Amino acid sequence: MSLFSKNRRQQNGRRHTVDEQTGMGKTTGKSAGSFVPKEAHKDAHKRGANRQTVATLTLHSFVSLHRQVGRDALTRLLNNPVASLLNSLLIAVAFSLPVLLFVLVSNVQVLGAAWDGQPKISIYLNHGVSQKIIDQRIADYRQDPLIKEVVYLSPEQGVNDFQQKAGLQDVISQLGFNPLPGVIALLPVSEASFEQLDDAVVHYQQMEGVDQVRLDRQWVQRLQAILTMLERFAVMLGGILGLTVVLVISNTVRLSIESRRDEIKIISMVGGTRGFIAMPFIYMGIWYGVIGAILAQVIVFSLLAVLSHEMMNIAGLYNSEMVLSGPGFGVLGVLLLAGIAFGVLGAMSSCYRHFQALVPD
Amino acid sequence: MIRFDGVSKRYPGGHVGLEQVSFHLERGEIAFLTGHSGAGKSTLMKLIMLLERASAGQVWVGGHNLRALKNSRIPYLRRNIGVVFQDHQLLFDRTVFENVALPLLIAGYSPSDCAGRVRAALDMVGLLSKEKLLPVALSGGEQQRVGLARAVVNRPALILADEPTGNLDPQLSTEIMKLFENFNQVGVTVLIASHDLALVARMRHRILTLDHGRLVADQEVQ
Repeated sequence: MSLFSKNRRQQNGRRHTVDEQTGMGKTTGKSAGSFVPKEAHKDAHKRGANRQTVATLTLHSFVSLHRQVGRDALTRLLNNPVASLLNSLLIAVAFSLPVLLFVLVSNVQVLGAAWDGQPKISIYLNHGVSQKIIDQRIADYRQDPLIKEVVYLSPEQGVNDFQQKAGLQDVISQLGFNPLPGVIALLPVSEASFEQLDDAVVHYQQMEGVDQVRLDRQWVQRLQAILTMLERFAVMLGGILGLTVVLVISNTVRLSIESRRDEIKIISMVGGTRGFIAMPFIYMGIWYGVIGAILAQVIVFSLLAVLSHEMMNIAGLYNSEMVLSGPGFGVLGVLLLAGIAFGVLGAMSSCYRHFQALVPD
Repeated sequence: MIRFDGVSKRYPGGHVGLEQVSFHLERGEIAFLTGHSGAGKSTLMKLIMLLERASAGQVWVGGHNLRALKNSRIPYLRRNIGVVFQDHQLLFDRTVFENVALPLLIAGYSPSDCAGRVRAALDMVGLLSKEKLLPVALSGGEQQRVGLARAVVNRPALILADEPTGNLDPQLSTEIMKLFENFNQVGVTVLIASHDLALVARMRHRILTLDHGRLVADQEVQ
């Protein structure tokens, strides 16, 4: 900005020296050093106003400044390896817990989807449907390649079953009629997927004489519900532990700000903006976030390597061909991005709070 | 370049830093600010740099009323002012070169573009051969000269020096003062706070004298 002279030119070119009249180009870099002899003194006042050099922030200088600040920040961390490693481990543990939970949940989900247990379909027939239609239905189901076994349970058999199980006698004579419908129980083939069965249920529902069709898969639904809950829990845990990461980084940055308060004061005194002063600290936060995320991935993979043996045993007990799969690239990418975001967030919150006292604005 | 108009600075607790100070320092002028310690020299310097704001009155720097200057613009004001301190205020974990380059980096120069200007500034104070050293390896006088190089590297229109010779022997002090005169000769406005009355008198420039926060004397060049 041109605080001291209003006619400063700032056209094409990243910067240029305004006092061309003395022929001091920026490439010589000598203008400050080569003092003009005494006779130039009388118009020195005028030039004093214009001798500032305009520096416009170009992409090149911007990038090289960031590169240098980023490198400096990393060097600072590496110069103090033990403390940095402990901080990063703290961050890594906070990252790895939700990731582990997430990985386990998604593995069990795969287990649930590949489940080769056999759900049952119950067809409840209309009351008073004729034996001819019942026979037709049974024949239909026997022809369906999805169905392995068909068992018909007449209303009479149903009542007998019920009376035996409930310990009641003569329900029909007391009620005056048999309230139970006829039921055809179907056992699908093991290859049938849930989608196919769902389609079959819709199809059966429309058949003549059929009142209601039930696909018995409550246990899968329960498992799904539990997994959904666990997944939400992982997200919530991720949120809480993310906050932890932000606080850890914020606190680490605070300590660094404290130890560099002289530097901050000097930079502020020679015209550094808050953004410039905050930059090394923000890079420090980013590095902590990134290193923490990488360490978290190491932790997750090590634990999964240990767990995978146990997991195979369990899968074996369920006659399932199941392999424990680790987090995909998506999860790793998200983890890295979260590390960067939390690092920036933690560092900025710390800078915001502690510059108030240090930067004399 | 600097105009004070009935400026007062009172600190919480009733301590008076400055009381009704008015003076005008022209563009290209050089002046000394003297007074016993606690007379308000540093306070006056801080008001110019907006390290503190005046309680009453107006401070104008480079044609700008500092009262109207927003906090977010303060860094840009300071980039036009080179400051030299008694205790140098160098960064001790960086080399002489990096210390001097700091104002340029802040102003948006890429590190590779700084080199020429930094060397010119170091050459001027006679420390070109020591650019790779850390400040601890330098003597007090040399450290002060690094501070001086840092103050002028961005070619500011105004240089403020707060007791720049406080810790130096008379000969070194005179050398430093000569450097300030050199800057002044190329048009830089210079204001030097010093309690070394003998030295100040020898330099034969305008002298502003503060006493308990009041401007008690404003002697023009004899």
